[in-house]
Amino acid sequence: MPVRIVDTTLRDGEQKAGIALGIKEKLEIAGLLDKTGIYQIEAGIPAMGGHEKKSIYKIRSMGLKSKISGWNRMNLSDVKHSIDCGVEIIHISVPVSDIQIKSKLGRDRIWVTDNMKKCISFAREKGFEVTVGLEDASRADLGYIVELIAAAHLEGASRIRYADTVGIMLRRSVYETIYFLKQYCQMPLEMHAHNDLGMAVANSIAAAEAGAEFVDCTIGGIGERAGNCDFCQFINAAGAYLGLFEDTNKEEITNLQKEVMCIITKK
Amino acid sequence: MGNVLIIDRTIPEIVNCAGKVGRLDLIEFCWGLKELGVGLFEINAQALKKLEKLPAGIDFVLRVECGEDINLIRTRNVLGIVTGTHVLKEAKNIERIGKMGLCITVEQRLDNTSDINGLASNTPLYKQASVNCVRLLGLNNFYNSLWLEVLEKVRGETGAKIDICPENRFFCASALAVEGIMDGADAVTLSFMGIGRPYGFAALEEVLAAYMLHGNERVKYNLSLLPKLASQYLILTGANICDSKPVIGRGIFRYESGIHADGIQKNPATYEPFHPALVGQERRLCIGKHSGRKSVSRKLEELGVFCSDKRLELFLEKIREKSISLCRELCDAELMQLLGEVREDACTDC
Repeated sequence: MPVRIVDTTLRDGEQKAGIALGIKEKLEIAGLLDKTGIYQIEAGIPAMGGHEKKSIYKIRSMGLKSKISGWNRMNLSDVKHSIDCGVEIIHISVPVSDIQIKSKLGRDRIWVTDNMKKCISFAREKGFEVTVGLEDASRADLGYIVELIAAAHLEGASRIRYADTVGIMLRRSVYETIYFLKQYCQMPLEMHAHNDLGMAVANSIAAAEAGAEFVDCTIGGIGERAGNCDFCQFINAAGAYLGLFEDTNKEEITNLQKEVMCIITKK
Repeated sequence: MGNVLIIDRTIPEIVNCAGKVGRLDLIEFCWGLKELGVGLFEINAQALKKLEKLPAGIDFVLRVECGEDINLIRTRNVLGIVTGTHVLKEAKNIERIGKMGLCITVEQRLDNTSDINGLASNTPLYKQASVNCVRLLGLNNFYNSLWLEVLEKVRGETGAKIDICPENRFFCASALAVEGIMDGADAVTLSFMGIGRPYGFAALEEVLAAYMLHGNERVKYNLSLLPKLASQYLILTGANICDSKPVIGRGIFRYESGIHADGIQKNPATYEPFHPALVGQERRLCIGKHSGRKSVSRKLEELGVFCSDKRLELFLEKIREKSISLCRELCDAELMQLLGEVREDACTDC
């Protein structure tokens, strides 16, 4: 089964402490990513306003083949910012672990489910494709995840992102979890792995093997803490293990990584 | 899942790639790794020459490339050898090893699951040589987690213990090593930072951290020693350690974005896989393009500065602009200077 790449260099990658991209740099990187045929570029967080919002709007205006998405917290204000940018996909991040729901939001599961439904419904009414990210899914109750997935589907979400937000999963548990969720999820699944234990590539491969149709990557694996799934490494591993991306020019991808990293570090 | 033996193979790699390596620095590094949780150190003839006299209190195994290497073993703390079938095929080698009372680990490369069948053909040799342990090397194409059935098959056929040593050709070595441990391997062979030729190996620090987080609660490794070991590694190799290197990178507990800063302020566990102190680090709030109101307020509190809400908004905007222009986070001095500029702006507005 083919796997599509969602590149989040311009969102999760840029969130790495110490990285700061201006409009020019973000546009340049988006153009380079588009040339590789990446399915989706997560262009940033529109709710940040200012430079960030302008850059996302401009990326959308570049007429790229890659689909452009904006990342949003689960609130209508954030979603409205994404709508302003005219992104093709509105991604709504939904904290799902009890630790996130209680400690960060100070709410309960019922509140989370209701708010998620409101946000999806609002964006869908405005005619946008909506994907839902299950933030900190790896520490969440699987039963609650199944419940949320069903609710998201009913509201018209088109895809579910399973996020190992703190990068603690091992590939066997990734395989088993994604395989399990595939039985209940009527939408495509997307794997979002972090590299805190050095397992991001292995976990993304396991997710693809279990049936995930989308995998999130960043150039150079940049991202919060130890980073995300490295795009080049994933392409190479997926080729060797799963026979994917055989038509992808690996040398071109390596050169792309160098170019993007030069832009990021301004070297 | 028992207490697995951790074998380190970093020393030969360091000796090979670094020109001038001090003997005492190497020994000190070994002691640090031992304190971390390493039970056995693999060396080769080149590393043995560099170390000269092996330190008492640390146990070694010698990689034997040819029969002559056996003659290099002169101290009691070399407990065994790691070798290939070609050495074991010579009866005189087996005899000498037997007389010296050394344990034998035989290395068997497995690239694909189909290679497992090839193991059976070597079983008579293993038995004849009284092989104690079979090291499964490579495992590059073992992507399906069901490969662990291999362990039982090999153990059953050879009667030997199993040591796994995955290579990192496709960036899954640490995952393979952890799976091996979880599924009953007797030993696992790793290297610090995953250093090794040609593709590298499973990274010692990643595997130990993952095993501690997911494994037996009784298993304790002293991971707080990792920053010290990273410094020693830097001295020995001159290699730069990326600040986002899992488990030991100096930047893995730095946080900046408003969303993460807010979560960590409320409860650090929201966005941290484990407490920074576990790996000898501290978390650090950075201020830059992605900082939000709350984290900037917190930083100003730390700096002992009061700022009104109106001024904070302007300050935040200035921070973002400055951070983008510098392409990095801002240090405390830069923040104070910027805050001074915002005060002037605010007065002009008034």
